[in-house]
Parts: sequence; structure tokens; C-alpha cells
Amino acid sequence: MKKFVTISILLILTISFFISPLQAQDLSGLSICIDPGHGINTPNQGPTGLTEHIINVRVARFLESYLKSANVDTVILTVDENSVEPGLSAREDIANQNGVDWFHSIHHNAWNGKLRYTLVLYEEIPYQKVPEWPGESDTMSYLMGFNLWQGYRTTHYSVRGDWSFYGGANGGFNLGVLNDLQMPGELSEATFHDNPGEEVKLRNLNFLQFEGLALYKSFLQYYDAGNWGFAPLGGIIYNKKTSKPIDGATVVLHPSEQTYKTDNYHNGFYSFPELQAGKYVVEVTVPGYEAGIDSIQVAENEFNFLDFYLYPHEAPIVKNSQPAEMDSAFSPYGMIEIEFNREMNTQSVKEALSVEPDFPYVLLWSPDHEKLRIDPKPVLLFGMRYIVTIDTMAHDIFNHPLDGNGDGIVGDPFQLQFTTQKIDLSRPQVLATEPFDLDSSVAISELVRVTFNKPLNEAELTENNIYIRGPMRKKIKINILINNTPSGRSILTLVPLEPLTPATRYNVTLVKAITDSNLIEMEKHFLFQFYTEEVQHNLLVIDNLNTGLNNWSDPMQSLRSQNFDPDSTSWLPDIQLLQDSSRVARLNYSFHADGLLDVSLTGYLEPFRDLQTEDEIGVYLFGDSSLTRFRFYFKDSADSLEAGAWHTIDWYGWKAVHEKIGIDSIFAFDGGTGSLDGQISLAGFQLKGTEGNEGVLFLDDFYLAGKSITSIETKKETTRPKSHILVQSYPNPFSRKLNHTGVSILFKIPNEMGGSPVNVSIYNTLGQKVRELVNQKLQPGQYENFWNGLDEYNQNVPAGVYFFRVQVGNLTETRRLIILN
Amino acid sequence: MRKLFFPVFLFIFIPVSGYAQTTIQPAGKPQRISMKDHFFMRPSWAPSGDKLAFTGANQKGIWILELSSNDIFQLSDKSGAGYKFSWSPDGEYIAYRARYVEKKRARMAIEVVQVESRKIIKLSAKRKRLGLPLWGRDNKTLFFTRNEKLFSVDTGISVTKTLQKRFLPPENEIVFTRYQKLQIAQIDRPDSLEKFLKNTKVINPVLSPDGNYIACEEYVGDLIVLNRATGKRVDLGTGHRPAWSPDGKWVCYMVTEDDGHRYLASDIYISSIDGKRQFNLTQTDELLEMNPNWSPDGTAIAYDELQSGVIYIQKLQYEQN
Repeated sequence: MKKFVTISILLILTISFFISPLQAQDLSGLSICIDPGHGINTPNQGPTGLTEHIINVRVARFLESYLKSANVDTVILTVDENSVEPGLSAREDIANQNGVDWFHSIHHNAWNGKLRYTLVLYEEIPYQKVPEWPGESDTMSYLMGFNLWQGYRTTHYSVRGDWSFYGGANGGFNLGVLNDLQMPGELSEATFHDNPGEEVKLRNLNFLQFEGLALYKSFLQYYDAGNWGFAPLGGIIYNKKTSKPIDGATVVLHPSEQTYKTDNYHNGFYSFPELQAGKYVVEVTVPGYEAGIDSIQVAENEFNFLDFYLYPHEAPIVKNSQPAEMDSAFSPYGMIEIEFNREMNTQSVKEALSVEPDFPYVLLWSPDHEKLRIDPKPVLLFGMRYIVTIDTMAHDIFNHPLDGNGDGIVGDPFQLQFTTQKIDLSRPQVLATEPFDLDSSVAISELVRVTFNKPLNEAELTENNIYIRGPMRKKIKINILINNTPSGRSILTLVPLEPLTPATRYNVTLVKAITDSNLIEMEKHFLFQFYTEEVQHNLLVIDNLNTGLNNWSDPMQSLRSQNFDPDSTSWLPDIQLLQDSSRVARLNYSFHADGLLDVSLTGYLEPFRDLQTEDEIGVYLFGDSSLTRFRFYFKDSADSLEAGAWHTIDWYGWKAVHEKIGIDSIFAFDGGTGSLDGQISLAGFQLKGTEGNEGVLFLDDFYLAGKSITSIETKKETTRPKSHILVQSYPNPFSRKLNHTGVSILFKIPNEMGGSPVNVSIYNTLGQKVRELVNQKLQPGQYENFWNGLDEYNQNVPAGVYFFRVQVGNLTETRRLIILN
Repeated sequence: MRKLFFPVFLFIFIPVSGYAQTTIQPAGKPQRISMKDHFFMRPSWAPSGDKLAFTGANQKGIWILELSSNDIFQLSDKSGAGYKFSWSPDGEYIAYRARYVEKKRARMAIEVVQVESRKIIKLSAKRKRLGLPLWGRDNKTLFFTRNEKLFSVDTGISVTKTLQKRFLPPENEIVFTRYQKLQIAQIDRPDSLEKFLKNTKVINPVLSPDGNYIACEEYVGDLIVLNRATGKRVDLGTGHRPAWSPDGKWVCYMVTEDDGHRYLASDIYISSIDGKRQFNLTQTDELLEMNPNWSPDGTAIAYDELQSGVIYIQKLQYEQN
């Protein structure tokens, strides 16, 4: 016992030492109860034996110190370093009895040792799945989720109601530590302590201090009580070659001349938690590594990070090349790409480079100077053998000469031989269309897909060359998406931007001017037509996923999921643009045996609650042609689960997948009866794969098409999040011939989002980032940026459709942009 | 008002004596009290035993069950009112601490509501750090702490009926916590503080009806019964939220198990104050019984069930060994 007391006092003194007096933040008048979860007898340890309780208490001590420094009246800790596991009711009673204003329970998560995301849970009213403390604990939870994610740089953050989180479609139970509180509260799981990479960081008190800071910031924000008044800086020092953290680094900060020595827990973490805002130079030295030096403008009231990737004392080699050595069918339109294992001295490489036979080219370097692109001007010759050589004069930025053949001995040149493909003069052809020509029962939710036999030239895929005409020969508004398949085909997806009209003929036209990547035109125009089905259905997007995946459970948390590889499986928001969405869901999957991933609907999507016969539930699914299988499942009045038919994913690109209630077949599932009776609601979906199946799927716009849907536009509007960023672009379309300044992208940061991280990036129709224009924290105000149509290598992008995305904090706006030559 | 369909409960006062030879067992199945779409918890008997008051989820509001008619009505919808509200000795009023939010900051106020008329008497301004209200024996004075200091206030209520002694709080004393430490004050001399367990933080202290014992939970420890005269403490083991039997010889409480996130089990226990006789009253695996409260005549214990929000009344059977 004496030992515990001594350790406790030492810990408190140590944490107090870390925290210097702060500027006046005003949380006076508040009483806050901090609940470090679990106790010393709880056996939940990380891989090297660090118990969760100790982590929780250490974070609580930091938070306690920060809150006290902001003049909080009373901070009460429910337990301390020495506490055995007290009951949940006792933790609540401590808060209730003392009449505190707020309760916060600190936990750290554990699952399978692979995850590292941030989770914050607030209390929900059972069955109703709405916050028990609306506008209070849910608001604070979102602040904490965001700040913890920022402070710990976890993969993402998730904020959920407890009833929805613990259980399936019906919810499960409330967190015991929240459900009897007299005041709002929440429970945070900042990261996963069973993840080895996270546990080694959680051993470091300075790392935990960032969690304390993140929670403290949330209280300041919630109570409009000022800012931290300082600018924390942290980072991790990695081995550039292995990407593993380095122990024993000395970090010196200029001009303050503060020094930090990283610990020996293999986390590489350093921090200067209470800096004043300004520009600093950070210098890192580690025996056996090249020194690192960099500068950073440290912003006040934000977490600032500067990581270092230090090179061990080794020679540079070539890691990869495109084409590969002895490639015999390299496209003459392609660029040659050579990837080194470390940052190169670009001038030395330029001087050491030779090609045979000679051809004119431009050299392009990636920003980290590890990737070199040789861009032939204009193109290589068809059917020609080339040799690219980089001789031993080439060296890295530390003057280590090239080890060209990678045998560990310097002084060898690098050589790459390849042959370009023979000229392909065949014309691009349409192989298939969906719907097929004269199809007479097309659902109004369908997308139009056209499969070509070869890659197309994106510049010609414009609304002038591809269009759909409806009644009165009127063109309907569409998005045109192109995806090239691994087998060398092109899939065009035409996405109607307004629902199709039932019982109507549509004509699709693909103009002859469409060319392939060799700029060879189609032989003639391609036309086909289809008819929409006659039923009087309306279409309503129920969840466009633009606000995240809060309505859906993580498949890795489902007990139905099995035989998946957690390292390669994830369920995340992403961008892969369809219609006017700014977000889609991304499902990365990998099965090590015949397996299943289960995603249950945990949110409350009103129209999904009472489905009628002939209602159609659907989702747009970006397939990967993997032959994995997808199905919806439902719950009926008998509270049993029934599943729809499996849809084999044998397509590539976007496609609507749907299930028609009462019409399509239903199968018993998880205790079900094989029929849908009474009140029917969507309960989730599943993906089934076999051993070795791995890939990625995207999902967007869960929708309902049904007779009962009445006011499409009104409802659609209400489901769409309100924009606070007010994004505009001009001119749009943008012509490079007419305007040399570039397209102007205007956006506004509202006062409440001031200081948020801002990212403005351009994406092509494949969802690939083409150029990043802004990536920094900005104060409130209106900002204008210009994009001149160049990619990250300062090359003109092909004419066509692009998207620019403005992300401010957790708000995102995406707009379409057309670039003309 | 909603009619409840369960048999009328007849209270039969059973004299309890010689507890050393007595065992207490449930008498039959408990009566179930519920209302559609309502979640109830923390039952508390009126001193006269003819009413049962309870609160909703997160201590929001107060409901009253009239045991004679089985009617339930909502007495208050105030946030926080349901946490340890206090019946007046005459059973006509309930005092509570309401929670208000102004500019995101919580403020407390002590209020009294008349059960019959539902008229509210506001006894304090909205302030931070107000303690829970406790009635004085005179049915007029109300005590509460503010910024850790004990205050008394005259409610202005005139006593209209003769107060029966067995329904009254202990003679001239109240138990409360100050800086999370256990203290007892003389109600006519609030500055005369008697301190106990000086090195221990406690929660849920309750004074026995005769004023001789205090049952409370150590902050992160066990349930204890403290003899004020001798200072001797009896450790009853793991237990939470104690409540006294009207004769002061027994304590009922809940024993819970959890995994740090959710409750795994909970039952209602009864223990003699010397800890030598302990009974599990509920003994269910699937239900999470919590928050027991002994009826004034000693014949029943009311408690709630966490998952369903149902209140139960369990009649007791005393057997002499």
C-alpha cells in the first residue's frame, strides 16, 4: 500500500511538472467528474502488460491538472492509481452526489490488436436511439471525437449512441456508467491499447498528455471558455527505410533550444506540448542515421505535428520501375517511372541519365524526390526496344552513390530494358450495355453502363459526345464516370442526376468522336434505347453517406462477421464520386477462408422502418469484379431476420443493387422464417467471400423506390446536410486557352470553424487526387484559390470532368468542374 | 393518469424484533409496476406507506403511484428532480434538487412540490454546487449544502396533521457529505458538525431511524455500517445504495457485477447491521434489480429493474429460527 501511495504521489508530481501555468482560460463555476475506467485488478493488459487502468488514470491526471489551471471549481476523480475495480453505480453516485456539471469516463479500447481509431459514446434512450442529453453529451462527444482523433492521429473517429453501438438492429444496452447520471456525460476510447503500435506510445507520459489536452480542449470549446493559449508540437521519428519508430533520438528545438530525448519503448515519440505559436526549426540526431532538420509554423490552439523519416547510412537503390525490366508491351503513350528507396539528388540523377535510342523527354520528380518520371515528348515509338541507364554519378541527398543493381555494393549503374507495344489501329467498340437495347422494364433507380473493349481517351468523354434523351428529346443531366478495368476494358457509367420517369423511353447516344487512348475514333455512332418500368414509383435517397457512417456498424465489431483478415479489412468514409455526393462508404475486405462481413443498420432511417410490398431497397455499389457476393437483410414484425438473395459482384464500376420487397426471393436467416411478415425494416447487408478474396468496394446512396414515397424533393432536401462553407468556382467550364490564371475556387470558413484544418484538393472521375491546393489551418474568412489545370507534377491534366473538394474540419463540400483545352 | 392492473397491495404491519433469530425471505412473486413507453427507477415510499414515488431515466421527473387506487401520475418533469428526492415527514410534500441549464452551465435549485396540488415552492435561487435537500423533523425546515456549507431554510409550510413519530427522521440530526467526507449536523445548530471516517470519502450515507448508525459506501470500497457511539464499523462487503429497515435492524442494498462497461448482474440483498445474516432477496440471473427502498411498515421492499425500467414491490416474510 505504501508503495502505491508513493507511486501515486510521484505520478501526480510528475504530471504537474509537465504542465506549466497557462493563460487565463475560464471554466470557473464548473464542477467536473472524471472517471478513469476500470481498476488495478482488471486484467485487460496490452501486449507488453500495460494495464488500461493505469493509462486511464494517467490521462485523467493530465485532464485534472489542465481543468484546474482553467479555474474549474471542483474536479473529482472517481478512482485513483490504487483503486480496485469500483462498481459502476459508485462511479455515478460520486458524480450525482456532488452535483457536478459534467461527467467524463476515460477508457481505451481493445479488440483484435489491429485497430486504432477513436470512439466516443454518449447515452441514448433505449429503443428510440436518440440522445438522452440532446445538444449536450452528443455535442461534447463530437468535439472529443474530433480532438482526440487530431491529438492521437488515429485512423478515424466514430461518435455513437451507446444503445445503437452495443447491439444489432435493435440496439443492445446502455453503458452502465452513463445510464444513471443526473448530468450529461460520455465515455471516450481514444485509441486501442491492445494494438502494439499504440501501446508503446501509451507508455509515454508525453503522449498521454496529448490526450489530456484533447479532452481539455473539448471542454474549453463546449463552454466557449477560450483557447489553450499555446501550440503543442509533437511527432514521431521513423526509420525511412523500414517505417519503424527509432529509439534514442535527440530532438532540439530552435530558437527555444529545448531538448527532448525519445524513450526506449520503440514509439519514436517526441513532444513540446506548450509552445508559443511561431516558426521553429527542429533538429533530430540519432546514431547510425542521417540527421534530420526541418521547420514548422506552429499554430496556436491546434495540435501540430512534424514527423521525421531518417535514412540509415546506406546506399540508394531502385525499388521499382514502370515498365518492369524486359517489359515487351509498354504503351508508347506512357511515362517511364523509376522509384528510388530514398530521396535523391535530382541534379546528379539528371546528369547520370541516358536513354538509347535517344528521344526527347522531360524529367518530373515527385515532391519527396524518390520517384522520377521520364515523360517522352511527344511519345515513344511503337515496337521499339529502349534502354534507360543511370550511371554511378547519381547519388542521394547525402552523397551516397547509387547501388544500381541492388547487390549492397555501391558503384554499379542501373539499367532498364523494355520494348514498346506494336501499334494498335483497331477502333474502340462497345461490348455491352446495361440496360440492354430495347430493355422494357428498367428500374428508375438504374445507372446506365457501357463497356468498351479498350481504354478510352478521357478528354472526349464529354456531355457533347455522350448523352441520354428522355421525353420530347430532352437531354437529361448526367454525370459521366469512367473506370478502366484490370483486363484493359473501359466502363462508362452514366449517372442520372435526377430520377428517371416511369414508363418512359430513353435513348442513349455515344458519338463517333469518342476515341481510345491511341486517339482512334469509333467506327460510327452507337445508339441504344430502353424503357423504364410502368409502376408509379418514386425514388428517395435515404442515406447519402455524406455525413459519415454513423448509421452503420463496423463489420469488424459484428459477431456474424467471420474469417476476415482484420489487418486488411476496414469500413471507412471515403470519396469515390457518384452523383453529387461528397462521401461514400469504402469497404476493404480480405478473407483467409470462406467468410462473411456483416454491416448492420444501427441508425434510424425513417422510411426504412415500414417497407411495403413492391418497395425497392437499393444501393449503388462500385464492384470490383471479384465474384464476392452481396445481400441485404431485413427484420419483420416477428423480430426475425430474413435475407434477400445474394448478388454476385461480377461487374466493375458503379451499379445499382436492389431488392424488391414481396417480389424478390427471401431466405431465412439467423432464426428467420423465410418470409417477410408485418412491419418490415432494413436491418443491414452482408458480403460473402471465399479464401483469398480481397479487394475494395464502394457504396453510396442507399435509396428507397416505392409507391409510398410522396415528396421526393422536399425529403431529399431535408436529408442533405446544410453547407456552411459556401463553395463557388468561376469560370466553370474553365478553358486553358482563354484563361491563364486558372479557375477560381472560393470558399468561406464560418466563425465557428475558425482554426480548423482545411484541405482543398482536385480529384478526377476515378476519385484519384490530382492536385492538392490547400492543406493548412485557416482562420474565419473568405478565401480564394486558383487551379490552373496542372497536376502534382505540373503537367496539364486531360480535358474533362473533375471535382474539387473543400474540407473544413468535418464539413465537406464537393463540386464538379469542367476543364477545356 | 393511468390505471395500473395489479392486485391491490395490502400492507400488514409485522412487528419485527429479535433479528438475531430472524430470517427474511420474499413472500410470493413481486408486484410489477410499469407504464408503456416509460422507464422508471429509484422508488421511494411515502412515510405513510400509501404512495410510492419514483423517477425516470437519468433522474428526470417524479411520478407518484397511489397504492390504494393503482393510479400513476407525474408530479414533476424537472431534470435532476428524481435523484434522492426527499419526502416531507407528513408525506404531503417532496423536496428535490432540480437541474437547470443556462448558457450551457448547470445550475441547481432546491424546490418543494405539494403532492396533492402539484404546487411548487422555490426555496433557492439557481446556483452552482447545491447539495441535496433533507427534511427536518419539524416538517418545516429544509437543509442543504451550498459550496460545502450547511444551510437551513424555512419552507413556510404549516403542519396540518399530527406527525407520527415512527415516520419522522432521526431526532434533530441530518447526515450529509462535505468535501465528500461524512458529517452529521444538529439541525438546530447547523454549525455543530460531527465528523466520521475522517480519512475516507463516502457516498450514499443514510442515518438509521434511531440515529445510532450510519450506513454508507466507501468511495471505492465496501458497504459499511458505523456505530456512532462506539466508532465501530462493520464491513458488509460489496454493496451499493443502502436503505434502512424501519426498525433500524436491517439494511437493504444492491450488489452488482460489471465489466467496466455494462452491468452483468445485480440483486437486492438484506443484511443485519452486524453483517452476520445476509440474504439475497431477488436471486435472478436475467434481471438487474437495483435501488431498494424499505416500506415504512417493514413489510415490503420496492426496487427497480435496470433493463426494463419496471418497479417491483416484493413482500417480505419474516421467520423466527
